[in-house]
Amino acid sequence: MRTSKSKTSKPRTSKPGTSKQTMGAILAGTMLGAALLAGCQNKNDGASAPSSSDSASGSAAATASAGSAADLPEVELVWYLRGSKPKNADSVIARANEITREKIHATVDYRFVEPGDYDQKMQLIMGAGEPFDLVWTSSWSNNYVANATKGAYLALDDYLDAVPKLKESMPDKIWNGVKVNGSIYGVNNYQILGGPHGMSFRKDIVEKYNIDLDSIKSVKDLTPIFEQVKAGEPDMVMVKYGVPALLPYGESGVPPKVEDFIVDTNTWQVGSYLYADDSMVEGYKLMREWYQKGFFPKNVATAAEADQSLEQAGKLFAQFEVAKPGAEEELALKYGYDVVVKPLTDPLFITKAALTSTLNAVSRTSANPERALMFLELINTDKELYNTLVFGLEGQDYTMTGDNRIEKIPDTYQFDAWELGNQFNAYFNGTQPDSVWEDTKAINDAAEVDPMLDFSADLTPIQNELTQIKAAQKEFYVILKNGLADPEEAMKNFENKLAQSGEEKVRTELQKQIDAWRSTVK
Amino acid sequence: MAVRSKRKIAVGEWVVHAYLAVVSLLFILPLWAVISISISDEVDITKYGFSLIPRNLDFTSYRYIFESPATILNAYKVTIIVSGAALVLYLLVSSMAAYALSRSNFKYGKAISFYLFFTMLFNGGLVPYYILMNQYLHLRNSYLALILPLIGNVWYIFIMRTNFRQIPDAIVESAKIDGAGELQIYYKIILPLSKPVLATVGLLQLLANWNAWFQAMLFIDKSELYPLQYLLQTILRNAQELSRGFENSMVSFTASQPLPTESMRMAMAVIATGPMLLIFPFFQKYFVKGLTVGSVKG
Repeated sequence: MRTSKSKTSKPRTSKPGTSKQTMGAILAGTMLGAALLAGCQNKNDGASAPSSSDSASGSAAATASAGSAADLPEVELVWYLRGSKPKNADSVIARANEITREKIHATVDYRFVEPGDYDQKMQLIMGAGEPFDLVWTSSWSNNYVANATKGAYLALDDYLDAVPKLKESMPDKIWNGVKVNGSIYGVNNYQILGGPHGMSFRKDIVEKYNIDLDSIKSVKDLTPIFEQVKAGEPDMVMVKYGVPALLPYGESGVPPKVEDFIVDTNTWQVGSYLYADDSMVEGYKLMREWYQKGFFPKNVATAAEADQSLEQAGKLFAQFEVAKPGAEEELALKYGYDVVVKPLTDPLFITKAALTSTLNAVSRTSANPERALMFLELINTDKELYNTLVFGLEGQDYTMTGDNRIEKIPDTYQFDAWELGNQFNAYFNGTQPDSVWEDTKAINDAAEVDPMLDFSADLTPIQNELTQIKAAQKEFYVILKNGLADPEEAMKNFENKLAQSGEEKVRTELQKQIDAWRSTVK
Repeated sequence: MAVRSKRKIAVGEWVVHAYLAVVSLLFILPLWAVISISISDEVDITKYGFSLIPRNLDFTSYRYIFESPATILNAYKVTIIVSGAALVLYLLVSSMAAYALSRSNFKYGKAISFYLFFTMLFNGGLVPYYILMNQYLHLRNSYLALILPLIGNVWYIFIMRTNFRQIPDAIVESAKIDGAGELQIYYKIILPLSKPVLATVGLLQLLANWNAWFQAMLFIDKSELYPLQYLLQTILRNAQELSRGFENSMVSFTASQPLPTESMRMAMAVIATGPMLLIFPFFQKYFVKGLTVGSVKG
């Protein structure tokens, strides 16, 4: 046996071609297999994608015949939104598409992107030049100014004349405020723009300890109140996280700033970095005192600020809030107990950050920009469409309790109202006072406009430095604002880090740009 | 003398054991902390901070998760399908490739090895990858978008190639004489002889598959197709994201979705890692063997 094996092994070398070919075939087969699989899936994908949207739009087909925009060819718009897909979304979107199909002969593919992935995913989608029509954008996520500067968004100035109702739906100061390098690149989701910052307090505790909230003039005055409550309610957390900014903002107002660098609007000099400014350090010191007195929860260093388990357990006394109209009713709904809201700063002026804090932009890759604008007009002016997308369907997701008032059915469809459009078109929810939108509009109209509003910085030459500064801010601010370390010591490290990050270069560059801007203003 | 030397060894052993005990504690404690937090009362956590022994046992988190288990179960389903399919495909593809490359009479072996090796060092980058998958292969929102990227791991092909080379040529030749074709040799001879390395590679790859979430982030929009790890990732990251911009934005944002509590997040972590912890011991006997078979022996 053994000998025969070794002898007959020779023929192998005599015809090497076959085995080589087979080797190659195996290898090629593996690669081909992958390609084939891909091909198969391609077909599947194509077949399954319409079926899901069909079920959504199929029922609408019957009603779509007689629309004012019926002469336009029907298109599907793609809209990227920041948020998890809500419950009951399919039926709600089907209804929304009925409305849009009838009115502007278009349906919308609502693409919900997880908030945590939104920035990265949108960067990829825009970087890949993928065709889509609408995208939610802001100053704090999926950066509006940066993307507009890069040319990812379409300049809307010329298109806006075709949609007069959209243009009229909000004041001119908003349209001016969202301009980047002189052009409008996004449609603001009109909501509250100013409004003082303050704190909310649990009403029953305030009454129990007979606390005179009117005596609070500064955030400093809270220390003895917290001490008193803490002594009586050892189980309670006084405040969830540090609020150092309330001190300087309360004393001297919010400073005008660009990229968090304070600007003196009398001399137009770029000053210190906001989070390292002396006024802020006073706030940090106060927070250190609070930390040492045990006003914060034990896990303040790691806890997510939006985590609401403390509220749910009824273990929180005070909380940072924007003291806007209707806040007390809204918060009572959110927390499940009554609160009193006390403003601790003057109404803030309207900043670029506020104006660009939530917008919808049209992509440069959109095949139907006119229709996208028509859709934006519709969602900003049509109460039915807007409320459907915010609250869902009557009966399924909410019940009508008044003329313009609804009661939400818990655990049903709900999407962030501030992402979709003009918030003043929303139904009153639960116990929101009837005057809430009027009062909010009054604040908006009365609010002063940031003197820096017309200035938009070109950040490309200082991008690296800004990234590093933001990283340093992220690293130290959580320590400083919650008083986790001695503020003097931490500030020293923070300032060193800022200096290393190129703070000076940023300041010089911003100064140069502000000087150039000032010279054009005069 | 003998007694003394025994004692010396005993002391040495004690040191080693103590050292290993400390090391294993370092590995076990964080895991234990996760479990402990997951069964702690949420209010205790905020009041007293984390502790290794829960002050009050509280299974609300688990109850909450399993109250509407559809999401988690669906994510499990996706993960199991994806890791399973990717594992089988990967073992097939990579062992075939490795076998072909291991044969010394394969003419383009070197060139192809280099080509494969090259992809370990350089790649086209994220955006081209994204464009390829979405715009050319149209794999968005498909199982394949989750599976295909997982079978592109080149490293284990080389490990397997080394392993296959140690199988004597004579065995292959004898099979040939007995009338076996190349595929038959691969399937009937090489694979059975390589069980340890297949099991090792399989386990490592299964772990990687189980934990993979990045391609889901890139290519999946539909929540029905979220794998487990990505589901957890989104839940955790959403909580962080929602808190971002709360304090410093001039306007107020109220989140429309409830946020998971700390203990709920840990409970999710337990649920996600649990199965892997159970699978590992079954593979262990192959695992130790497999680690050594790939290496050169004297």
